[in-house]
Amino acid sequence: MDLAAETLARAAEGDQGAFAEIVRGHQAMVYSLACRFLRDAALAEELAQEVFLDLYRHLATIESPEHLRFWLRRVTSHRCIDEGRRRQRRPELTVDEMPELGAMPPQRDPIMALTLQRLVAALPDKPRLVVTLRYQEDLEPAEIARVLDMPVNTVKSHLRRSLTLLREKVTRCLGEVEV
Amino acid sequence: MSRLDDELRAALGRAEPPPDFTARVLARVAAEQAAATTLARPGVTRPRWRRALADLFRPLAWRPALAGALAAVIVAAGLGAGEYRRHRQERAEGERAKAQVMLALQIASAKLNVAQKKVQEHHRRGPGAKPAAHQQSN
Repeated sequence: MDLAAETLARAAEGDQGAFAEIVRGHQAMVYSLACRFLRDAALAEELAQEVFLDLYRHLATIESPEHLRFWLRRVTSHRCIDEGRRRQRRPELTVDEMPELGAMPPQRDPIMALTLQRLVAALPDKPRLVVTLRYQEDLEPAEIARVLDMPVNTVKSHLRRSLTLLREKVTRCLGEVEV
Repeated sequence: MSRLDDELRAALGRAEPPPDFTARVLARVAAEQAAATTLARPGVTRPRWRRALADLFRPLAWRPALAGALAAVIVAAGLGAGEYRRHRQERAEGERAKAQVMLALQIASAKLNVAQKKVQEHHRRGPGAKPAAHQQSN
């Protein structure tokens, strides 16, 4: 049994230290997914806490570290979609009003990174979630389809359309940059 | 794999939540466990609790002092919740300001690097050389 599986087994038996280790190991993934979708750091933190509380209640049903990652991505994504539906009546933010995500690792090209973050944040809900799962989590379209309960072709079509849009907009924002 | 794929991967990296995130998740887990333990104790069952509450609100058992205490608890809880919300908001704003300063520093550093490269290039070519055509940096 590897270390991650051992930690999971200990957490399922009620070891709080092991559960804390699991939270620390996955909190950036859950929080970033929520933050990119909700575009509100405080709300994202609240949602991420709810996800881990839910995980604590379902620890006995988690079979492996891979299943844990899949479960967290799936529950976070679906909670985000639900929260997005609840907030649907609120006006959409413009690109300039998008909040920053918080402490990010240093970027190769901060201007390009900031532009892309803002353009992704301005995408509609489902394409934004698909793009986030593809590039933040490095998931293949088939894996995204499983996480979101969506046909693979729909995922591919969201990706294709979003990339075309992002390419056009980034060229318009930053001038003649080859992307 | 296009350059846009690479740039998106770099731009959409994971970000860490505030440092006390794990501690607050564990506190919520502990609170939930404590509530479950209290309910599971013999003699502390929901029907008895409900009966006590019903007795309290029965007209004969109604006492002004109890009503006052209950109102004070409700007001204190409301004030506490408001204070907590304000604290969370202030902290989120602080985090946002910090992130903006970090980004501004990153942008300034990137621009300084470009300027430094141009100066070095100019020195290498000699004082009379024409400046190189503008190149879009990454």
